Amino acid sequence: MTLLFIVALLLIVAGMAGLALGMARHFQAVFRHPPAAGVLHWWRGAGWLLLGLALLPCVAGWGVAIGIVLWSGLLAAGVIAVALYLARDR
Amino acid sequence: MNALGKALLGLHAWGGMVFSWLLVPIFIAGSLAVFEPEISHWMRPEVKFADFSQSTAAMLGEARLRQVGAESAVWRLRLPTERAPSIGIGWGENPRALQEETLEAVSGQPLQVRATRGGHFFTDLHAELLLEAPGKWIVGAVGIFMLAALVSGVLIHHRILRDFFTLRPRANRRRAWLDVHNLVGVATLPFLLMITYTGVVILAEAFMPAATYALYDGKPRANRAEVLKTFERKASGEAGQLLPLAEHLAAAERELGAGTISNLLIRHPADRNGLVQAYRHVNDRLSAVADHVTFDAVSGEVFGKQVDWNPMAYAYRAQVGLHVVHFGGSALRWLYFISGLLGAAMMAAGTVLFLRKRRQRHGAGRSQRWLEAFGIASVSGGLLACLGYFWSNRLLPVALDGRAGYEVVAFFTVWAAALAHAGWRGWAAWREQFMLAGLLAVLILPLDQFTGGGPDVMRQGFDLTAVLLGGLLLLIGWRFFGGEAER
Repeated sequence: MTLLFIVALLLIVAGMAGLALGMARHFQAVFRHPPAAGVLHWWRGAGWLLLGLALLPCVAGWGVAIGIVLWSGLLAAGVIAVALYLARDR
Repeated sequence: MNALGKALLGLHAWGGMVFSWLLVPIFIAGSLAVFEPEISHWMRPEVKFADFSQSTAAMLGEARLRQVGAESAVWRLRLPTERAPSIGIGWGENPRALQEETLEAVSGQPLQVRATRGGHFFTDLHAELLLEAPGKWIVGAVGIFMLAALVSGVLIHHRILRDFFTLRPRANRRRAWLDVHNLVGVATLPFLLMITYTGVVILAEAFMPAATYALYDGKPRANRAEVLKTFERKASGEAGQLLPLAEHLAAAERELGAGTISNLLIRHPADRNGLVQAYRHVNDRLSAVADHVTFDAVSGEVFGKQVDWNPMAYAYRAQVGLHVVHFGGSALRWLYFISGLLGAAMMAAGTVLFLRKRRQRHGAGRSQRWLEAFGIASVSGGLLACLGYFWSNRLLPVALDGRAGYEVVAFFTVWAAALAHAGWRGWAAWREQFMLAGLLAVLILPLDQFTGGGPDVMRQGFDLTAVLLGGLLLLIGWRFFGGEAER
């Protein structure tokens, strides 16, 4: 249960990081150079994929109904974790 | 911005600020209510966490009930659980008004527990502002407004998608507050929509009783009775020998699942027609419906059992379940707790934004002072009031008459004092109150050390949480309100 929770949380944070790197402003802030053409799509795609994958440990540990609630709650944690990381050098 | 945008902005800004006076305390209390049993445990240091066995506890509870309530028509037995590690017994004639006692979970000895409303105070404050029916109307109304504020917020903060993941703490103050308001609002938007909508739905019957009243001949509980089966029968008047409750418990676990039973209700314990009813917990399902089974008290045969539910009722109770989060264990509880506090923080940031802007435009006139006082009192004042409640729990004499009431008095006295302080100090009160609240929260740890009566793993968890949240409040007071006096 604890392990599944940690896996889900990591996947969500990684997925949100992918979504953030799929935005030109955050990409520039992290990599210190502007994104090449088309690369943002890949970051966004990877982000959505990881967010989707995070559903698996949630459903595996808590069942479909509760797993989905847990997953959507963790999304908030992911957004705030990534935002705090990006804010550290602003 | 077009006319509709302007209208929405006015609604969101003015309405948001005024309703947040109630919504922020409601969110803080609701977040605390998630941990109602843990808070109740912290506030009753006479109860110690211990390794208990439910079956032994059933024997101990039964022995005590035989002593104190042998002649009673109803017994209730609450078995110890991980979250409430004591035995609770009740006895009397009316199941809604029983005499109650708390027993130690391992020895079965009666405990002299101090009088307190414990964590349930926050549940009552959250759901009805301690006012019963009128409180439900008020909470329901501000909940409906909250939904409007959420929707209008998404529409007027049109940069939220472009600014996703953006926090600029070192930009100008206004920008930083706006970032916090938008980011936290967007991040928790699914939670906020869900919790507000389900909250309104739960209360709907309280403020729109007409349909139920008309369809059920003015008996609002009749619709509940239609769904929830009751298995009862009259006492025969002949004596009967009650089978040990531990055996009933074991039988109930066979019917409903091992380790799922924590409440037994016994009707006519000394009668040949006695009944023992066991309720299953709802910790593993979204819908807050408790399966239950009733046994013949003497023979131990199943008298009635309900595990199938009316689908509409089940769906409705799923919305209740979503709101009160008995499901999902500690992971979900922490998620709800943090999301609820973030919701309060989002509203608080909105209040700060509004008040700063208004002060820049209109100066610090009398009306501005009033608005600031109410805003500050609702946010940091509400936190101080909760802390005052916890501190009074440990500092009031244990044997004081009407003790539970005085804890509530402490809550509201601190709140009123915070309002007065905010009116007197103006903007500087933000920082002073956050710093004081942080300090009081951090000092919960030594307070518990000196007044808690020995180490206890649940209370240590409470203390640690208080220290962490206190540190966060100090940080907020220091960083976000620092050097901002009268600006």
